[in-house]
Amino acid sequence: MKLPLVLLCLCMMLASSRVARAQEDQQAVRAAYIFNLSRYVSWPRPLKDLKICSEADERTGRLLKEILEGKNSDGRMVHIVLAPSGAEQRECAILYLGKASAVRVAAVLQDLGTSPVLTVSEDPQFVRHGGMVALVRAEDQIQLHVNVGALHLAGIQMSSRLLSIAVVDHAGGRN
Amino acid sequence: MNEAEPRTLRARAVRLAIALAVMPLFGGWIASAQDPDIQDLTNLSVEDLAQVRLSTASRHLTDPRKAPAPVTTIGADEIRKHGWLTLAELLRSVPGFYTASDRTYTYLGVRGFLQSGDYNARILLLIDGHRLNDNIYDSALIGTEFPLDISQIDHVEIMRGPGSSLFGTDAELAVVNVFTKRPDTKNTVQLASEARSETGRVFEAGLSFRFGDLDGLASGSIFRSNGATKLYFPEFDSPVSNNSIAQNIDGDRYDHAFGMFRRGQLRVEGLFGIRHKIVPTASYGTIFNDPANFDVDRRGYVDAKYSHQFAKDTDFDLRFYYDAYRYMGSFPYQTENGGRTVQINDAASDGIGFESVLSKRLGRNRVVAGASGEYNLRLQQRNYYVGQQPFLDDHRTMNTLAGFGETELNPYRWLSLNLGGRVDWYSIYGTALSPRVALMVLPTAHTSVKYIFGHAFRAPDPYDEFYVDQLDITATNTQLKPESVNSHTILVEHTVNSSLRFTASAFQNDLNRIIEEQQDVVTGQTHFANLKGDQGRGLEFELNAKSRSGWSARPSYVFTRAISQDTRQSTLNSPAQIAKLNGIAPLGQYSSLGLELLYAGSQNNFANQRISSSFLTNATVSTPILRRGWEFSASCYNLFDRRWATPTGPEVSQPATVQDGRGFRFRISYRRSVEKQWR
Repeated sequence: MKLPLVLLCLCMMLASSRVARAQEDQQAVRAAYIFNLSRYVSWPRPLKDLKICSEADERTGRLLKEILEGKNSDGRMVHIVLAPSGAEQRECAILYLGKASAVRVAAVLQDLGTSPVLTVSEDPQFVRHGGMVALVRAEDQIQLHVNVGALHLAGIQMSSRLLSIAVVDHAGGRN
Repeated sequence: MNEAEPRTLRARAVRLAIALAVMPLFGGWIASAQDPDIQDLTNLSVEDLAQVRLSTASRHLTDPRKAPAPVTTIGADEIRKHGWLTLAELLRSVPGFYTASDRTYTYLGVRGFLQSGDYNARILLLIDGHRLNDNIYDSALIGTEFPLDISQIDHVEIMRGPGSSLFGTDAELAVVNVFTKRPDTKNTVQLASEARSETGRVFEAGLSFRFGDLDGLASGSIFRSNGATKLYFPEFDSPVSNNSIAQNIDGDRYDHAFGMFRRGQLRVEGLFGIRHKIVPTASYGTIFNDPANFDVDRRGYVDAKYSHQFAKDTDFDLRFYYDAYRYMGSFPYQTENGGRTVQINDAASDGIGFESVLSKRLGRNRVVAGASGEYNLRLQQRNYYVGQQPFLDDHRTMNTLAGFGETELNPYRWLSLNLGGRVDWYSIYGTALSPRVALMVLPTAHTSVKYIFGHAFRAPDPYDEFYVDQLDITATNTQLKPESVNSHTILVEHTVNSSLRFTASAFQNDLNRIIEEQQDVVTGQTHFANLKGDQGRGLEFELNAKSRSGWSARPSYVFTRAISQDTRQSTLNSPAQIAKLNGIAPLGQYSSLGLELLYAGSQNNFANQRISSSFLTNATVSTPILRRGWEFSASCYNLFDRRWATPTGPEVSQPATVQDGRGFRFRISYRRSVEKQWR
């Protein structure tokens, strides 16, 4: 009786890293969406490499780096830049703001103006306040919300294939 | 066993419980630094990404390879391509499942167990996690009596084996969780119409809407069928009984309504269904060929669920609901002086309840724990003859409480241990404990070997315990005990490549203290009692093949030997062999052919008469949603018009119920998106 109990306890003590799948699943889906954005969006300027910048929390940033760094998106290599400075942000193709506060979002959008940077957030209010794309959790799914007016002002075009599965908002450009 | 031993055993159990509870906390400190599982979903198309379901605090399976039970998932695409009309027909395609119908209700057999007249009380049926088994008969209604349109189903998860460790009562043989469709991202209207054999017709209307942050959908449908015009029952061969012909006595109809809306993490859902079936079999000694012989089932609920993430590693789900069920049965009888009287059976249940589930990471492990409770403010059964006082008028209330939990431990990447358990308390019946243990070895990335032990139970329901009628006038004077099942399964799953997966399992189910009708040998009267039980052993094989071009095949074979623990003889309603094939082939770019072959071996009915085996072929040609929103489907059921029947129970005089011959269904639907979005 004692040996099996000891063995069972050892198994449990040596339990490995089984990270909560709920959180990872969400961010993994968002990471995949961001990669698909890079494939189905065209920028007004030709891009040699695809710089995806992240202002999200450290774990999300690390996940983006592990999944997307070095991937090939239509002949362009993906690079992940974490916590970019203001000047670096304007050089990003995609800027992922994660769950940034409303104050921070407003400041970033103000600073970017009509620069051709595809702004992405998790906040459902993001597209109403001038952001371009939101990856919103609706119950047990991640939905794509798109502000076509903001895209148009920045000269960014989105494939109809993405628009057909998206919740399309005609709110207009950045505040 | 002497007096010292129970104390010693209890002390050991307490020490073990403490060790099991505490060790995961230490595990987080000394666990080796292994890479977390990173899911790279970038190879999914955007359309597939939009369909990905996230795991929540509630009991969702994340990695099918580590699911602590064999699970079959069937999606809306397969439903459309096979032209299944009811949930029962969908379930019939699952390995080891088979159905029987008495032309009133459809019964589901699982791995050799099917009890006539138990209304599928050993199967737990859920819609979006809401329990559909009613609180009078514990019935899982799966034929046209199922209160949701099959076209509203997004997918169905079928877990074979006991599930009481998470779900409580009725989850003895299987858990069937039906998930409804999600709202579209666009405002959409859909209309559909069907024409079926036997003047069957269906009309459906639905819409998907979005209003700011709120989205939802609503649908309604009606179904009408005259059924078989003439049904021949040689047991009633006399001029008085229309010379054995039940004429226009097979009508079936239902009305359904379903709606849901959600905003953020809040979801509210409501459902209502009413189904009216005329009974042609003259069951329970009623007058043959009398249209006053019918059953009506009404089912409805409102369910609100809220999900929240308190911190990065804590998910919480909370659900509140109201649930209602009404039954009415009309039974025409001949009186002693040759006249006619009608007996009415009705039943009503109303309940309110809650369920809360918490999922948390503790170091490097994950634990799920939950609690639920229900107050049945009405449990009512009445029997009376029209114009007379009831001779059964039972009213009562009941409370239930439950606590459950599950933890998944992964000492190594190739080894996983799943421990789960639930304690249920019933104000009428007492307490039941349901553990489940699953050990999973993953020797390669493509193979898993699992051993699963589960214990499940079914609490006696008010129909078992308190029902009386002219035949069953002694409501049992011995309180019924919950019946239970101990289940052992060894399961091997191997993914050959991205197109081919193979599953094999061996199982043993021991059903104990089965609640069944028993006849008193002295008085001849009947009542429900706990009988000894049955044992079923078997082997199950399944292949899943899919190609990128759209071809797919799902053949399976199950061999079962189910015997009575008492007599050691084969049990009733138990085919030894079940084989089936579900195949889909693309027909050009815009259509597909769905072919279904179903074989069930011969089986004994309640009188130990042998009922022949059956072999059915069903075929459907269908299109996806075409350019302008139109969708078409044409199906032929029992293509070769084979005569087949399913065993009956003691409530009818026929040895078997003859099922339908060749039948047809044509379906047309139209779907249109409305661009305008309301703010």
